[in-house]
Amino acid sequence: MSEIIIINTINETATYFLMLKTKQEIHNNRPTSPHMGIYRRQISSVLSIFHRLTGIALFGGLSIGSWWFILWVFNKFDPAFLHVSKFWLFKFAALALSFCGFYHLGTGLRHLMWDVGCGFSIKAIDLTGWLAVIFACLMTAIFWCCII
Amino acid sequence: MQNNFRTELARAKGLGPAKGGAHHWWHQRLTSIIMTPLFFWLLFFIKCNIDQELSTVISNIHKPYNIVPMLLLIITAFYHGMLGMRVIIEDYIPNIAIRSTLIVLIQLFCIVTIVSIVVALLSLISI
Repeated sequence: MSEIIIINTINETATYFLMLKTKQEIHNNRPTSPHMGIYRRQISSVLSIFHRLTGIALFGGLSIGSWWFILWVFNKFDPAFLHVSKFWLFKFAALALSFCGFYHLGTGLRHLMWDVGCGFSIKAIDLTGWLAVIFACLMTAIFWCCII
Repeated sequence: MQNNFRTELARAKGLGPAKGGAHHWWHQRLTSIIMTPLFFWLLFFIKCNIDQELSTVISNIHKPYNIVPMLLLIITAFYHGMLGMRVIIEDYIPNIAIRSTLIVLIQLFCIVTIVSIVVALLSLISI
């Protein structure tokens, strides 16, 4: 019993500091949507989450890339900046970001499709979801085959 | 109850919504539509310039059919990203002070970055 209380306290403290819930919600101890712990993963929800995650990744990549370029130009085209392409981390980031770009494009086109009012049936959502995943993998592979 | 000559409907009309507030949603879609062809232009540009000398790449960027899509893509991408990050922050950060601060910081960051990168690109093609 005491273990449960301790775990609960830790949990509440963590949610409070990470601000996953408001103070009121912790006080009420009511579940908040969408109950990620017991939520069954579906293609639509997983793709939606990854749409956001890839969006964040693309924003981060775009920001870092932009500032790399800005600093390179304002440092009088310092050649040291160009050595970055030799690092494996850069290559990995480029690969990951290209996949994120294709994926975000695929699922983004799905969002545009929904915005004009098409493809709301379960079948269509499953089909276009898998199509977006296949599109992302295939385009990443084709793109890297073309440029290497 | 009704105590003047205006009907209930006339009094209610125009009071509720602020006749705005959805523009960010529309701008998000608009920028995504603009970026779809520009994304394929970027792939083509990378394909053409990946194994070129730096001077060739810079002279390619000089060409109007490269510098215009490049500037368009960077500006729309940052605007789209700014709106997207705002939505994510609004969804996951319940604390109103931190939420507003983060949104303003991201907006400032995007404006500063867009202006800097336009200046950098213009100085790159003016050398």
